[in-house]
Amino acid sequence: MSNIENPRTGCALHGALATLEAIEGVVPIVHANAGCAIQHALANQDTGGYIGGQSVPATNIIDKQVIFGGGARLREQIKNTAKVIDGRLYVVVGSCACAMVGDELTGMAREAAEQGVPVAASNVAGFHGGVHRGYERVLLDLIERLPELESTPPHREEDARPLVNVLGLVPGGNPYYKGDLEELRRILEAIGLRANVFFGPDGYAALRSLPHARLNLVFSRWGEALAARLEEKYGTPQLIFDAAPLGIEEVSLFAQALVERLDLDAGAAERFLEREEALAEYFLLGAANRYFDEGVGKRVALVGDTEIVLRIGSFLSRFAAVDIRTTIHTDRDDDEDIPAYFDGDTHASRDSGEIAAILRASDIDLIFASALETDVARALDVPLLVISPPSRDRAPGGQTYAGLRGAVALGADFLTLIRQARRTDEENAKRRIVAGRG
Amino acid sequence: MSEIVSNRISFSGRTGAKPAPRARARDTQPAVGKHIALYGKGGIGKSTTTSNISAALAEAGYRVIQIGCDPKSDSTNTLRGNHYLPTVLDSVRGGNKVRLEDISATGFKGILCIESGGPVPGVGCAGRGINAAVTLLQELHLFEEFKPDFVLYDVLGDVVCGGFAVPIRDGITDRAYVVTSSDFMAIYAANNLFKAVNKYAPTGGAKLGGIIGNGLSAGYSNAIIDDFASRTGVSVAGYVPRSLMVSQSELYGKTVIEANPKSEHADIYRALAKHIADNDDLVIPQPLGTNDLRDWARDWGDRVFNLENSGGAARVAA
Repeated sequence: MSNIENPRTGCALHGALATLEAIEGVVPIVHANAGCAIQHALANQDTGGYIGGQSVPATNIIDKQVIFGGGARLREQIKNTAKVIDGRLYVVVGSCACAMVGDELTGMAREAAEQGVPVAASNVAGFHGGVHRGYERVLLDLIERLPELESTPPHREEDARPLVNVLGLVPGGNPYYKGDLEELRRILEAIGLRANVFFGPDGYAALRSLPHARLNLVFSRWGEALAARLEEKYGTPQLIFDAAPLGIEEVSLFAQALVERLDLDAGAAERFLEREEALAEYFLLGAANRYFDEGVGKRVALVGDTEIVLRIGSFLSRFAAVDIRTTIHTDRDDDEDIPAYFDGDTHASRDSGEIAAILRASDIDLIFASALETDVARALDVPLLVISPPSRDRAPGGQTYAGLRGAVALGADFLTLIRQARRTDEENAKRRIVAGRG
Repeated sequence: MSEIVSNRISFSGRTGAKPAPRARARDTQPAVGKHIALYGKGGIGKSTTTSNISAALAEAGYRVIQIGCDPKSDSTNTLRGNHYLPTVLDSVRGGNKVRLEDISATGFKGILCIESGGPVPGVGCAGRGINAAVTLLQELHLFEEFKPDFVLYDVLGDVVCGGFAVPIRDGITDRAYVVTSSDFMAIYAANNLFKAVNKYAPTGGAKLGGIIGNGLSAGYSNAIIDDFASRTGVSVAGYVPRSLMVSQSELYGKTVIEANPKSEHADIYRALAKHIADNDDLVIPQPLGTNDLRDWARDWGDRVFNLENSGGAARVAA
């Protein structure tokens, strides 16, 4: 990829770190020269957990360790980390320098495990790609390593509901991934399942129960390798979606697929969905009247990972009769063929300069993108809604643009933007009249 | 006076301004002595050749430094009676303040012997090690202090990655020699070095001084080396035939110059050393492409086959 300007989310090491930080009970140990971990904290601001962000155990290797190998330094760091940080699992992640020198991370992890410290390792080196690669790689390594770490299987709850793994939503892949996961959990549990999200409070124990799921649910292509490996290893079947469902129609299809596949109580699912649909109408109907006057047929551009672009794009075009003019996918390679999901033009780029140029050349009323598109949105005088990282000033709480609550939130945010834009237009017009130029 | 000074049109005053001199990657052009790197395939006799050249130069009254750039750290053994010498990187590893006297030993006729050292086999990065060792020697003002006439860098094996090309980059040495036998794999390694020189020379890296033929035994060995040299546009600095005397001297922990100073072989090394000392005809070699090199080798295979089967009667000519 040429001339990258603001390449959004960081490298594979950062993706691995974001993933590990999000699993409670897991402590990452970065085997790298100074800078790799802090860059992650700066690049992926809304990730982080108990151990993460700016406080991550790291070897901070120097020239000496590059020349002679950093094994001894890493051994020391693992020992010291285990002494001062209480973790259920320690995961060593390596940097580019360590990978080039060939430091043997797995050997060190095994050595520590023999002394009773549960350590896994992932040679995830930044140069393997972006954050998505890091997510994929570190989880693949954990799938291999976890069974070796404890001889006894994890405690299984006495719960008759089938367990399903939620894969493919990358921490930091969109600013609201935490809310997205919890919304998916809410829906899955409402239709009679147990969701293994493993990010968040469920943490390590949930990670350990990955092999016990009845089904792997994959919500982006970044979960496909994980599901494939879990199927190979444990025979767990998989159900693959392009994106997380958003809006009543997609959630209904999603629920229906699961009901059929896992032989769930169809009636219970139906009652839940009816109630949710009624709620959505209750929240949005009043606003919708205004929308039909002002919102229909808006021309929009979407910038983000394929997953979020598809999720929000298909919801908007269906629910809000929006015209998707341009989509820019930020987790694709330049030379990759991207299916034309919408009528508008499709691009792959994570170069902010290139993205701005594409947006400038598009005839649009609204931009759904990252905070990096603030300037171009201002220049085009169109509203911007942040759906992809970095979100900069907008701090995500448990907010979501997924599932059913996400549809209400997105609908409301979309309407708010249109109204604000209209208000600004009206005020500008008044000012022109007052100034005698109207 | 209406003299036309210039018909150039200047846009924002830039035309005519000289471009800023290209900044060197590091300001290390050694001010003192000729700095020479010797490369070649592993086991081809680089250390033996380098040590004998050093010995011959020292014998002729020059001040010489020999720096072994190999984790094996055995380049200068025959110059200093096989005594233990802490390497530059050993001292880096120790973490103490490094002094020149701790990492150098005075060998035959005052040659200053230094070993860069490196990681134990299978860990770390030897290439980065060489880089760090050479940088440290410069920081210690080795060359300003010792004021050598010649500095010889005996560099391990093939130039497999950037680290091993350090001695010919960034102005550390200004000339490289390659030691090779007439075996294809040795010539293949030489050709690889030519590729590295070819890459770095235009931006301030070392140029090639020539080929040193070593361990030559067959009648056609010189012809093969000559042919390779002429095709790549380089000269041959000397031919060192295979000899028991070299191995024997080495077993006694000495160079041929020291152990058998009156031998014919000692004179061969002296002539080689003189050539290297005097030669300022440095070139940028034109390495053969991988397929060309293969074709060239096959062609020589045929010639050697014919030669062997004609009872040595056929004349070998390049």
